[in-house]
Amino acid sequence: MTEKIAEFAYDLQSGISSFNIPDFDDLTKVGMAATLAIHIKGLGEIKYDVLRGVSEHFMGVPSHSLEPVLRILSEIGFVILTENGRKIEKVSPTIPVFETVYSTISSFANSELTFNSHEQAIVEILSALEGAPRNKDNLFNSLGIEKPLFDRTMLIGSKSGIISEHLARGRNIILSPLYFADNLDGLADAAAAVSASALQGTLRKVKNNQGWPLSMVMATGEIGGVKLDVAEQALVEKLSSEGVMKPPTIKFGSRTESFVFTPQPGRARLNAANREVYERAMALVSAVRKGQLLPDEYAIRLPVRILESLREKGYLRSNSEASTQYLNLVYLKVGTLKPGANGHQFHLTKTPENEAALNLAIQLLRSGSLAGMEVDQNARIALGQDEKYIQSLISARAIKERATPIANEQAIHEFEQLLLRFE
Amino acid sequence: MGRLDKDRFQKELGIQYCLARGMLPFLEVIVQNRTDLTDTTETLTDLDVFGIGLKGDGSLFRTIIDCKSGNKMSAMNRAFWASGVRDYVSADDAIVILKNAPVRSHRLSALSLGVDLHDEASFKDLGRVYDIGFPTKKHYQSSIENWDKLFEAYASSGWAGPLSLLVQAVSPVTLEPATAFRKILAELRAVKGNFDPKKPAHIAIVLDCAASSLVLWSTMARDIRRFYDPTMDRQLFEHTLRYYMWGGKEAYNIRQQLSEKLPGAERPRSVELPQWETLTQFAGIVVSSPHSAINGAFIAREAALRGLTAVDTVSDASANSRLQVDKNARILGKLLVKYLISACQLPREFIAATDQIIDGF
Repeated sequence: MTEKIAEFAYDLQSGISSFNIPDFDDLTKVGMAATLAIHIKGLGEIKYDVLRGVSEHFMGVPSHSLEPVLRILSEIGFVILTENGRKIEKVSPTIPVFETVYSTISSFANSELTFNSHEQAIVEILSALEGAPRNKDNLFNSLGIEKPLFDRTMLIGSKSGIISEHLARGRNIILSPLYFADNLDGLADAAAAVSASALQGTLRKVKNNQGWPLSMVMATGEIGGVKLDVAEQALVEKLSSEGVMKPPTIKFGSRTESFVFTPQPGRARLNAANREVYERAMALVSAVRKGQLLPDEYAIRLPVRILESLREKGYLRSNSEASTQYLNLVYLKVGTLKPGANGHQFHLTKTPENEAALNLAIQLLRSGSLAGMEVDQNARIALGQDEKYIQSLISARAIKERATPIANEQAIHEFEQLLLRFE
Repeated sequence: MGRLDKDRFQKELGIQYCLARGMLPFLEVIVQNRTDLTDTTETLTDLDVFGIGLKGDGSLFRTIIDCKSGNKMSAMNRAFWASGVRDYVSADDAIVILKNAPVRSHRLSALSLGVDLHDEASFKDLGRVYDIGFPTKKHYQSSIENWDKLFEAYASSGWAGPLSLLVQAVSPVTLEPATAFRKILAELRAVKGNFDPKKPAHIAIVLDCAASSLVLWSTMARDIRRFYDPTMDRQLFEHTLRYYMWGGKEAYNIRQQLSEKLPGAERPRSVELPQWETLTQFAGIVVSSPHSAINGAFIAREAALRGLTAVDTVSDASANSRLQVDKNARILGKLLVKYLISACQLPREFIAATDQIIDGF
């Protein structure tokens, strides 16, 4: 079984938490364990009752499943349980900061648990869909599993909303909204237009060079020194013009420039509470990419170093281009510009969001990937409060949930079709 | 046997007659019931050739051409039949091409019903009134083999059945162009996932949809011209156009109320045609030259067939001379194709593919 099983189990859990699917057994437990672990990492002692409330309402871990999941975590050594008889009273997280939660849980799962065929199938499908959409028939052939099993897994996936099926250019394309957030139809169309592997290849090149200016990609036909062939260039242009990639467009003085980032991930990988952080990180990357690739006079040689220096010192030395380069960051309240000896200095406004954004920006430049953005900060805050706070939060949330019905895109589309057809 | 196999020669003559008169031909137009009272759709009859042109005031002039190479029914009986059908589809005149020359007195009597009875020889002679070289193959539409390919394009795509009915049968005869246009949009949106810009057949279907839509726009442009006045600002124009496109204020408001009651919508959504901004823009352009819409339709249809067959220099030259006379036709054709593609979320590559064919003239 794959090394990333805990990660996929987590994705699955975030998608299917409100459904009861009898086909899945241990995999959901692994998913819940991963969810719980990433949220309690670094926290102090938590009362069991508080954890029960928070886990049910923020993480989709039902209270009746909490105990077995905690026992798994305790077996791994991620928590110490304080028990009174059979009852758990307190949970003390003991996850070292350097620990990558997913890989530890994965290796535990691989050695201690066995997964049934449905669980194996869904993990295989999710791992295939993580990088790019796939052609359905193609995927079925490459998985080599039985047809009824594949169909059942697809049914579960589409019912719970973790897989969506699109007809594009006469081909059945499947993709997962867990990993892609915007214009899924457009993305499916792109996958049908070129092959899924070409799309994946292009996205990989973008990932390795996050925040490259779009005009440069088009003019030079390469991204970060890597050649894009004609089809790949067309693809980058298509994805950004059709809103699949949503490149942030920033005005520098009289020039406007778009910066290419990989498509925004869905809610499983980018928690709504972290969206703001993500946007600020993209703005930070765009600002230093501008300095690196489109300087007015003096180019930045190592954009990552600039950001690291900002993280260490809290400001950047004054330079003549700062006022245009970092103006957008001032609008986003990431920092302020102060007059200095030689132009302007850029000072970071030290809030937790900005620090997280800076860390994420550095990570985007280093590895291209988005990690740690799935943690719901609200849940972590709630875990630090007492029971009364949780009670009020939960009841407010329950009322709010009833008032916000599910906006189903398909249903709205069908309704619009009826309006158009109606005489 | 294909759809066009009966009376092929006469049908081709009919098409060429329409083209000689500067009309846009439709082939095998199915006549539908006013209302369906049964579960299965029954059709009434079909019209062999249906030509659409413009009258002096900008409204549409419709002609039925009925081809009968058999002699089962007497000439006068055909005339009575044609007269009835003509009234039913609100056409302006009807021509019946028979195998044998009809009796002179019958021809005269038929004329009083608004039906012109001909045999092949006299019909060719009539055609020469409009074009000295009649019958000639001057356009891509002139040859029935090309029409075969267009019908085949629809037939080979299993999902295109309802679309072909709307485009080829409903659009030419409808008296409610806005409703028909909305239905074309809905149908294209429903089957959008099947369109592949790499397939010539699919490009032809898109262009054919644009041709029929422009026929609808020909009437709509004339109507809009009537309610437009030069003092109108964009907002008022848009407001009026919106009511017009949805079939009046009441029809629009009912939809709006329905939409507000839709469960699941987070905030009230206003009912709007897809890509409304672009469509308003298009309406603003077409209203300044309503007579060009039908020429735009002609160009779109020529382009649809051109993509399916080998390039023919004679046809290209004829299309070009038409474009020289009407400088707005090409741009209207392109704009409408572009609107259909963006409003119905077809792959964007269609824009380049269709533009390339249209620019070939």
